[in-house]
Amino acid sequence: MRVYLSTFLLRLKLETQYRAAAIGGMICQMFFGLILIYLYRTIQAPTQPESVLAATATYVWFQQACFRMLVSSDGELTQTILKGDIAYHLVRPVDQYWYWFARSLAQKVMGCALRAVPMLLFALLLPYGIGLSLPRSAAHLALCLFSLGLGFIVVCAVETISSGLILRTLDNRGVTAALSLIMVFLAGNIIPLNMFPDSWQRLMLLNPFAQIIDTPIRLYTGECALSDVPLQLLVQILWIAALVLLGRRIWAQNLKRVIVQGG
Amino acid sequence: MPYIETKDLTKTFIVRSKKDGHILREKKAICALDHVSFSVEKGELCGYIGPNGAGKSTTVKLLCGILTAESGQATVGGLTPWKSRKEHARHIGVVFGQRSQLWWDVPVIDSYQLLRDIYRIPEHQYKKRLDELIGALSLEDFLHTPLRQLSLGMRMRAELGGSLLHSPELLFLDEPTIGLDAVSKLQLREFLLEENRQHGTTIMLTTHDMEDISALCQRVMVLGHGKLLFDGSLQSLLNRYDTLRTVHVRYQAGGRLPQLPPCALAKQEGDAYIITYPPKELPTDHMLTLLQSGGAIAEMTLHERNIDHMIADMYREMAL
Repeated sequence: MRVYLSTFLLRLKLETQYRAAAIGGMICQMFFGLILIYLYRTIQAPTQPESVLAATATYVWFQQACFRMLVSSDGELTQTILKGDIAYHLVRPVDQYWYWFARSLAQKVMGCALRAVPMLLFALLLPYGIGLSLPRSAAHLALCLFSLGLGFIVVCAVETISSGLILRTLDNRGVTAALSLIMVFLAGNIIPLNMFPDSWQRLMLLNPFAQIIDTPIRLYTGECALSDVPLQLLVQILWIAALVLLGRRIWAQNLKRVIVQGG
Repeated sequence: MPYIETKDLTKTFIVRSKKDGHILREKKAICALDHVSFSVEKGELCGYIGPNGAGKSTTVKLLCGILTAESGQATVGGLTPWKSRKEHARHIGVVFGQRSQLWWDVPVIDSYQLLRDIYRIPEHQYKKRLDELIGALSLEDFLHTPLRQLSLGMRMRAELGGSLLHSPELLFLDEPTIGLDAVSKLQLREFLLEENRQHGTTIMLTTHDMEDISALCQRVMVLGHGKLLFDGSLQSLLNRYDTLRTVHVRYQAGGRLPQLPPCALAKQEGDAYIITYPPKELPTDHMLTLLQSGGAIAEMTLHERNIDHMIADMYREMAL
């Protein structure tokens, strides 16, 4: 366990070195956040009450603040595979899956924290309807944070599958491009999932990418009733189990047929 | 039972190539290793040479457990590397001269601490070993500097330290002196010899630097086109190709080079002559008498052939 914890901690430390990138990302995400909020206001304002507009703004702020959770493939891992340094990692007496999982988790947690905390604080200061609303209750906030933790595990399981696939294709571009687009859309980052027609939503909310950030947001705003919470969390946990199993299979197969690039 | 043993080790890679004007790629199987068998005893220092693409790195990767052999067997300390990958990895250390294992953006010591946890090295043992390595590889000046700010030589030393932290029984070195300056090279060789002497570490060295081999290895294996072509002492290998001597000679005023037999080739360079001859046909004492007959010699030096030339001859003869 200690190995994975140390890997996690060192990767956390590394991530704090990229503060300028965090500031840049934050500005970019705030810009997009404001544009999306005003865009949805224009669409929703004629038909919807102010409380819906405020909930949409909250949704968008959360999505933008946690953007780093979604699109941030581990550049170091990609480089490692492209240059063939992966050879070194493959001779370590560790479980390769959890080793890369720990790195991915650290990168996402720290990358996200560096951006999300200042952004959400800023969004809290904005006027009602445009800014971030307070959680429905303290219990909702606690549930949201717990669910967000599960969301991190879901997204890292996805990420570790994608790195396993990159190890097969020996190039990151195809896998990353396809995955980012699908992930950003199905996670609700481009169009909030609750804006889809109800019949679509029932299916959309079950998709694995919805478990990353959409579920925590719906717990925060109270859109998800407390009686539905156990079911929501169960869906998250089931996806974690499925994705981890799939990822471990991919890595186990990889280790049998790995090719190290560059002599 | 030998420490490392391979039997008919074979590995093929599929390489895809596309011809001009064709849309589909062709698959071609390339045999990187073709029934290679050898054994290495514990504590041996063993050189593994061959031209580019001979299959050296493939052998190392198989013995590390990174790659899986297609057929044949290999055991290291009783374990099949690719079957008991994790267990095997605990006992071996690897240095890939052209790759990096330490984290680029963090200080060297942070990477070392991670390695300590990866190999589960007890704290007191880690401290002792770290001090030893700091001394032997002169690491103290840059231990707390991020890797990206180090020179190539420093980085190689730091990488080597990282590979040895867990005191491996077996060390694979894949071109460890690539890009190092003379001082660093000598220091590195000294260190490797000491490591072998003190801890009985088995070392398998892959390199193109023949100086490395002659300084470190009693035994050398030559690989070409995936086949093992020679396995024996470096001396016996060289004896077969060490067929020429070179003599540089400069005469005092009045002296000039006498007529030499046709097997000797003379070249004039300024006021000095460079003569290459085969000592088997023209014994050296005979050569000296001949040279002295040309007049009073001001200066004379006798050279063995450069080891790189001999290896090049050998590769040529083996049609590599």
